[in-house]
Amino acid sequence: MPSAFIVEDDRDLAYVFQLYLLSLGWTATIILNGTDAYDRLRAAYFENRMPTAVVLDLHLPGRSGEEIFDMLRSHDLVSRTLICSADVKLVQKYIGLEATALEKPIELKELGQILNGFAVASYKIG
Amino acid sequence: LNAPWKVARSAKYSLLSVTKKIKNYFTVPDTFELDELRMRRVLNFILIMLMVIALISLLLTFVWGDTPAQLLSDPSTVSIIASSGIAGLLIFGLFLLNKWRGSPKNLVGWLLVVVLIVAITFSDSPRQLTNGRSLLSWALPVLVAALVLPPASVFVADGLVTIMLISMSTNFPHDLNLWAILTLLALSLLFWIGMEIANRAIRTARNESQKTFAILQGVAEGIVVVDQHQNVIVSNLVAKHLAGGLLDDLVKNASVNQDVEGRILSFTWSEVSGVGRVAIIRDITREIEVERAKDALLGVVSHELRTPLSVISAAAQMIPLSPNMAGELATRIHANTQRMRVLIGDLLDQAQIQAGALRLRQESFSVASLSGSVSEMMADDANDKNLAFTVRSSSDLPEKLVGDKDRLLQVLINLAGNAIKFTDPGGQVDVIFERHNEQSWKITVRDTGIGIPPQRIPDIFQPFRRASDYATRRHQGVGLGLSIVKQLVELMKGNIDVESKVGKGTTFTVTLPLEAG
Repeated sequence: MPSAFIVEDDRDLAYVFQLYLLSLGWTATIILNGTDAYDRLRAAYFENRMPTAVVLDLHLPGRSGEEIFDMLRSHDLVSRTLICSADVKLVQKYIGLEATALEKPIELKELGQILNGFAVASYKIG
Repeated sequence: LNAPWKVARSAKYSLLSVTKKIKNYFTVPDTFELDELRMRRVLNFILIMLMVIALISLLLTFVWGDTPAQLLSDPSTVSIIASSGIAGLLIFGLFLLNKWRGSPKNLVGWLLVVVLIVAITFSDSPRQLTNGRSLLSWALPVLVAALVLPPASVFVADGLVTIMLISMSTNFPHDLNLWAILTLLALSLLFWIGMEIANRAIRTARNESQKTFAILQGVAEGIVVVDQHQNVIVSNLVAKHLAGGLLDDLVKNASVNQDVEGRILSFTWSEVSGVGRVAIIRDITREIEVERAKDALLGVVSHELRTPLSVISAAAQMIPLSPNMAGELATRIHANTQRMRVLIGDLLDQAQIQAGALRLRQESFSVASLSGSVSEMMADDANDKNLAFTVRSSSDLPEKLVGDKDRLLQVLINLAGNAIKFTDPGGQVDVIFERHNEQSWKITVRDTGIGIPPQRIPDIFQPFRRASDYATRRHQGVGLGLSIVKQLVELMKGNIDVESKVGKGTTFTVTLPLEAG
């Protein structure tokens, strides 16, 4: 079963994302602040239990999403990270950096397609 | 040992400084009034020319004449040498006097005219001077008077020359050269007309240039003109002030915006044929700051609108996928529409307050209904966070007051909402209405929350303050709530104070003028 970390400080949005992913047959864990997300993702990487996908908001309390993205990139985890932000400028910047990024409000279908793409890729590699 | 190029360079500079000193010595200092300066400069030139002529004639006498011994043995040559020498020294004296600041205006000019008349008187025989070859030399003092003295002086010089012509006529009146006298008078008239025209033209040109100069100095922008070799030929005070001594370097740089000691200067260049290029320099530091602030603000507002919108959109898409969760999803949609409504309301309030368009109502309202509304609207939020929440009003307040109840409620919801938001479960939030003194009453909103660090207190009432800590924002919103509260309280002619201790809690006190309804 593919799994995802939803790094999102808006409880409502995180809840809807989680609900949607569950409906697609994923397991999804919500992380509400940047510092927590940074620590848990790093730990997951070193303990070799990285989720299939990370849905990452950029403006977060504590560590910013940008810091988290830099950390993920340094561990070559960009291919399973989906940036999801309401900051249009930053989204454009990350698209320019060849990251996968969506501008809020997003279409759930698109989110599902991208994450399924991550799952297929990880299945092929794994 | 100094390197050869250093020696060469220092030699070049000492040579340059020597030539500069020589040049300065032979120039009239510009400490005189403009018209006087111009005349003194012409006089200076004439005196230098005369000194050169005297020097050359002395040299020629020695170079091409007989040996010095023979020259000195002949009384006539001795007299020529002596008179040349004396004339040279006299002119040198006039030259020094002309440069001297203390010398009266026109004195040197008159002295030169007199010296010339005396010199001409002794330069030839009276017969030749009145009727012969040297007649024309009388025009010289008149011409000099026209050049270095006020125009009407030519007639005085002409008068002196006429007196000399008359007094030199040995067989008066038979050999009086009336034609020469009339011709000199006509010449004087011509010189006078010429100099009047020239002086007027100079004055007009100067007035025009003074006007241009006044405009140049008066404009708020810096203006600089550079020639084809990028040398500054004209610049106004603003340009010099903005460039802070770096003007010569700045104009060589082609970029449009340049950073000068932390300020950003914009250069707008245009070509002026025959002159070079003109730049208008403006300090756009503030404009750029405002532009950046506007960008940041737009970013925050867009972000704050998109966030609830994305919940509404995602939850609405989710309902058909899991109809059994519809109730829960609808609740979240509603909560987020509320959030958007508050944000839009705040933005509109802020815009209205800034435009001075917000009008307050003055009507009677009951204190009990106000406190009841606050209690009713905030109780659920306080309950959700497990906070003890009380609203009390003291008995020393009149039952009815005059004011804008809705706007007062807005202030209270904002303050109480903040208090609830920033107080951890188990804490307490109190809202107290009481009399302050004879003329005023006050509302206190007190919490036992996280408190505000002292360094943040000065800017908590600033609008859009969250724009600055946008990346790692801790709380939702654009930071308008407290700013609107303060502005509303001030519109009500009241006052708001805040006291806070980190970890202990915060107390906001709103004091308002008391008017019983």
